Amino acid sequence: MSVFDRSYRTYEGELKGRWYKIWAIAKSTFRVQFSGKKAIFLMIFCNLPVLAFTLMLVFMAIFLPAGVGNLVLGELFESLDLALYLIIMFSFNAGSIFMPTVFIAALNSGTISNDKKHNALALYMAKPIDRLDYGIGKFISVMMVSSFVTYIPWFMFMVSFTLLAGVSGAEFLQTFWVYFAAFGAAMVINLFFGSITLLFSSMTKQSILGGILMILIIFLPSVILNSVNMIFQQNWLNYFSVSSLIASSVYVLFGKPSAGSLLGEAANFFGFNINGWVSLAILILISILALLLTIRNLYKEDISG
Amino acid sequence: MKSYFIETYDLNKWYKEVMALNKLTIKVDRGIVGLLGPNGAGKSTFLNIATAQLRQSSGEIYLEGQEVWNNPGILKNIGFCPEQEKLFEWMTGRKFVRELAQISGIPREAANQAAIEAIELVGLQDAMDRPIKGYSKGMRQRIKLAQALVHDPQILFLDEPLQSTDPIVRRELVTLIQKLGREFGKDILISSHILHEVERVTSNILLVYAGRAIAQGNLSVIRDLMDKFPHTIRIKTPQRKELAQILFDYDYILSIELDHLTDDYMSIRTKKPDEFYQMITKIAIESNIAISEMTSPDANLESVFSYLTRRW
Repeated sequence: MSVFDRSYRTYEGELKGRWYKIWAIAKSTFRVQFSGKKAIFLMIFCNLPVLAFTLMLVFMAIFLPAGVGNLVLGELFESLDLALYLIIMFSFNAGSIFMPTVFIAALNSGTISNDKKHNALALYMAKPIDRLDYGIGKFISVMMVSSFVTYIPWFMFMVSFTLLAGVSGAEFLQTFWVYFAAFGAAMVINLFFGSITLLFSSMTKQSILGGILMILIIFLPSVILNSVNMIFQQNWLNYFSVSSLIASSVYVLFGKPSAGSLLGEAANFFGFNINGWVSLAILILISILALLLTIRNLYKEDISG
Repeated sequence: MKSYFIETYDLNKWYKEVMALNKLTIKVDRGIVGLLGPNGAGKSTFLNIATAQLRQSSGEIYLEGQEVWNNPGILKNIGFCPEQEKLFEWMTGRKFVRELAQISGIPREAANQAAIEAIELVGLQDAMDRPIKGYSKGMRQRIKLAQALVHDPQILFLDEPLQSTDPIVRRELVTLIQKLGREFGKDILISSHILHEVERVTSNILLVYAGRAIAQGNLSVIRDLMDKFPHTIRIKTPQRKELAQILFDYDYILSIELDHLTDDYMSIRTKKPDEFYQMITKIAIESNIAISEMTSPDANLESVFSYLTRRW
């Protein structure tokens, strides 16, 4: 094998700017993190509530007569916001928050730690990017991966509902805000989970360790506090439960679901007596703090060890 | 354009209590320069600081007159071939270089072509669509070199690029590095702890030891420096005891050592090598001493290095 078989034509074009490079990092990381059967299996498993609801819609639309179908859909699901709100609660209540947490931790915990473990940071950092660019690229990737247990399945449900539940044009326009409210809720959840994952990923070279720590930090307080609260009945304790913080934040973003309906009653099952705006602020503040600590870790990282 | 591409002033780097770089002050000339030092001398730390992966504890470092840390603008001009062998194992060579090309800012549509060009340059085109996990050590060195070259940087930092390569690949890489320096006009800093590797590539060297620059310049300059200090010459002769008796009469002979493992080798240390070389020929003729081999380990870069580092 000889070198110089052909003449070397150096790249003489223009180099793209900062955001192009950040996007290149995000895409590259996403392809690495969200690949393989493990990711697909986890994604399906974590989205079982939304899949169940969507399939129910599909079967009703197929097998029930139009009048009965509309009646059941109207009675059961009532409105898009209420139906979606319940789906989110099914996925993120104290008991089930474990699964999306596992999904996000399993697929994202290696985002930075694998680069550190394989010394790939040396390859990245010698390119014309700074550590902030690298961190932003990784964060975008984490947000994209996390969307597979938040906005993407929700969007799938919302579209199915709109198409199958006999929603009229006027009704669609009236419920169009739900798409944005869902997007907002997804962003808050992704931001929170993503920033915590990124922080743990930046703290260790062992992605599994980072993932386990992230799961424990998010899942355990929710479970323990819910158990404790059954005895002490102290509402303020809910501020220490991630699932309660998410539930009340989403509640704020969606507005109060109608309590008179069947599902409205069910929604109250997920009732919480903490302030939604305060919950939202806590989630965002924790996320910002986690991101700042991640950036700090990246800037202090001694690659050669 | 300045005549040197790297300048450092009192550059220090501590890892907690360990000092990796100790007031390193250098100006590196353009062209191909070898960065030499034993393991732990601070070579990799220096390269990591020069490529913005580490921040110095104190002191200043400039590439092309610009600060390095947190300055992506200057990083456009550099390519770095790191020492580690673990890469993105699941990727093919082409994809690996293409992704890093995009992170360098090359547009998506041009990145593939730029990657192929760089891979062809390092002679890896036959294996570019195979996953990196199946690459040999030599192939890994070449794909790392390709990713360093893909955005056509002016400055190349090569950390132990010839390590673990077989003689044929090594010769090709040496040719390639020389070509990049001489024909493409790139400024290259190549680090190694194996001195004869660098000696093949360049005679312009920078010696570091214990985090300090102990010598810099052309190999011959360093040899001149070395000539001020004792010089070792190894001689093979069946009459080594007779020769030793004669040499003891000369005051510039510092020591004579007979090799314990062989019967016919001896090592002589002198502070005036030029006079010794003139004299030894005369002695051989006048005293009828058969000298079948005479080598100076000091002529090799290895001994320059070990000699100079021993003084610290």
